[in-house]
Amino acid sequence: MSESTMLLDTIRKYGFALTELNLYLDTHPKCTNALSYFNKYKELYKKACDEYTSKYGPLTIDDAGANDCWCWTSGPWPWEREAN
Amino acid sequence: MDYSYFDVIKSRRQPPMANHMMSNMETSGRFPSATPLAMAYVPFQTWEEPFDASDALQAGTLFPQLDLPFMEEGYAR
Repeated sequence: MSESTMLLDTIRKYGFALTELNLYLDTHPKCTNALSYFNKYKELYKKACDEYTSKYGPLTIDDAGANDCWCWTSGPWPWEREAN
Repeated sequence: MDYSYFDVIKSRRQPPMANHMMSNMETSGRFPSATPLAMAYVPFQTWEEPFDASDALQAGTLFPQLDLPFMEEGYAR
């Protein structure tokens, strides 16, 4: 499993945890436990996304266009990533 | 859980009690006899130690109490 796939898996798992906590917090807005977990995973998620973006290019258009080139379409397509 | 709704129906053959308060302590079948029909009750979820993030993705939920894998016999644990 290439490093980019591992990074993507990390992003996916933290994203999933955030979604679960989002659902829980919707019905338990004052739960401090859930809030602290949410903030913890938000940090981890952001760190993993930043690392991925710096190494393999933008994940979402929020990350695209940082430097002067529109590198959004220049990187490999997601299905090609496993190929190289 | 050998719950069957028909036990509830069967056990409530006796005429409806005049005073609800007095009867709702006794249980008939799986619910207190004064349990109204067709009103669902879902216990409110409380916080518990969540799964680790990778286990959560595997289990499909972050919360152990919601990890209810489908059993062949067709009921949750």
